Amino acid sequence: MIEVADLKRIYRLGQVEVAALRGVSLSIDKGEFVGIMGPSGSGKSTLLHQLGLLDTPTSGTISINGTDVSRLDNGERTLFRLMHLGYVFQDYALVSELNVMENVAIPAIMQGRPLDDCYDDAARVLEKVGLGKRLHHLVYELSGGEQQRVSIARALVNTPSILFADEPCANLDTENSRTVLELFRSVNRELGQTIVMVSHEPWHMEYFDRIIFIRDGLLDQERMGRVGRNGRPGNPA
Amino acid sequence: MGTDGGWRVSLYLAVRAIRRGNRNTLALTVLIIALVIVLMNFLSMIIGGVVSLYNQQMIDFQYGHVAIEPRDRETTITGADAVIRQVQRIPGVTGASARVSTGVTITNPKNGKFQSKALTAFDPVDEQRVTQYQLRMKDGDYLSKGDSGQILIGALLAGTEDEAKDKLPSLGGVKVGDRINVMYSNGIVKSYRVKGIFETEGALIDSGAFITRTEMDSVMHTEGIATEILVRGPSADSATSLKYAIMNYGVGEKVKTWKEKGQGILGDAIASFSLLNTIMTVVCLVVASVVVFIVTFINIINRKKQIAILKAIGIRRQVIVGSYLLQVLFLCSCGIVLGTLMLNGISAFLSVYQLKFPMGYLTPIIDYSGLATSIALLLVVSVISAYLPARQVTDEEILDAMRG
Repeated sequence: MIEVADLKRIYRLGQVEVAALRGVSLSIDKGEFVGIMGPSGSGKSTLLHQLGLLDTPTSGTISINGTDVSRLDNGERTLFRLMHLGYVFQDYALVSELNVMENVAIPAIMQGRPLDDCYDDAARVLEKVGLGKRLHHLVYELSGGEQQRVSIARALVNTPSILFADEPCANLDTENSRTVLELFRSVNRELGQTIVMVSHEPWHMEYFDRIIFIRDGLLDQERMGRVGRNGRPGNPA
Repeated sequence: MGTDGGWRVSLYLAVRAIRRGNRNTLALTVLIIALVIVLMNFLSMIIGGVVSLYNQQMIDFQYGHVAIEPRDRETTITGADAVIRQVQRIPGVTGASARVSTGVTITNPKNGKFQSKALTAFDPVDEQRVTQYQLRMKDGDYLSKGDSGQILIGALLAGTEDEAKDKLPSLGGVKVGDRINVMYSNGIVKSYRVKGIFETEGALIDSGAFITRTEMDSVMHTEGIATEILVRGPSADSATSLKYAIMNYGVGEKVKTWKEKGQGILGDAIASFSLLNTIMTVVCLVVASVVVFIVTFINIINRKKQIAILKAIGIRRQVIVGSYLLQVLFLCSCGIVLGTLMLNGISAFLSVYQLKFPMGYLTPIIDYSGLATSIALLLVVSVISAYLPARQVTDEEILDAMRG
């Protein structure tokens, strides 16, 4: 599903070059719930941003469902994100003027689908994330955990091939974090949703099928051999 | 499935942003745009009123629709009666009046005050088919055909006993029934009874004086001649065609429309007003563009992270920019409607509580073509002012914007 080969991302800060990724190769299969972990500054978010087409790698290739996405231009990347990918961020950034259902429906409306279908799908996903009774509430009426669940519903409404989550629990307390992770695990198991999630919390490991450890911009081969929650080893390409 | 939902999403976002956004900011912005519309059109509304008032006064009291003047190098029209008969046969002509003007000195024997004026003589019956003095009698009566020894004077020439209240030099408080002396250029001095005082509110008009042709002929021997012939046609707009009709009927004298007669006097003033109006329009447009820019910029800067995430989830940059443009178009439309209503309200108010100008009470006239132009300019400027910050923020890389 995702094939990454020799991925490099070098940032230029004035005269200094900083290599955030220094040649990462990996593959992720359909239906996996993969965690990307590593210390701060290791390059885990950078890797997620490359996989999620939010940034352009300096070199290397990324193939998603057989499409070499590293060759897409900006417009094509935006369209690809809309049609095939879903995102949950640390900062859920919902649109304050939209109610819960409208926030979730936006990506579906953007696909050009009939409004009623979009609302039906939004309501269905919101029911799934436990917010079926708060469809018409405005964002500021929800707790942080509820807002993050809305953003998860927004990420799922177009039934994406892959759901990317960048430290989705960073702003949440343990209880809300657990709710979000349970939700991820549930959609992963029940819907076969592929999920790639960045986290730095050790206790999150129990939810992942597999963990990709990263250190100093490279895969941490030593830790990759250890097991994830379900006993599968980490598997670099 | 495509992404043809672009404009639909822009509209969707814009409608909800307007409905659920900050009402106070919305109201204030609409009010400012409305005031800009008012300011952009207020001066031209007044200018329109001045021009209309001046034109109407020229037609009703000074020139009629068309004025026939002596040929070059001649001071009078000879055979004026024949010209009158000729003109009256022209289809559309509703009246023609031969006038004779001469310079005189008018003195009020009660106080010795005197004024040098042009005294004009006309046939009262012919004249009232062309001008409207008979409808503006402040006191006393209009002249009758054959009146002799009687004079009609304007309210400003009559004046008041308290000189401080006079707007122009006057005779110091002449009333109907009083006698005033007129000294003609041939040396004859004659006493006249003031038969009536007219008031048109036009400063130059209300300082004039009139007698009958019979009276003038008896003093100045002006039988059969005229210094000008005023002609009234079906409408002010048809004055030019009336002019050519008169010329085609063989009238060899100079024929001028009311517009040709009056353009030199008000032209410079209107040009100055127009310059002021243009300056005001530019200033208003700058104010509007700055307001729209600031409102959009603050709005969009506060939503930078939100916009980045919308872009991340696949909402195209153009869709986000489009939603801000639609919001601004809505604000402008509301402002334009409110501004137009305010402008009409001000116009109605000033039609009731009229402004007094030297030529009389002014009724403002809204120049709707000018209003349409100002609306178009405002829309263009506002859209550009909203587009620039929206484009600037949405152009940022997603990750840069998300990091703030």
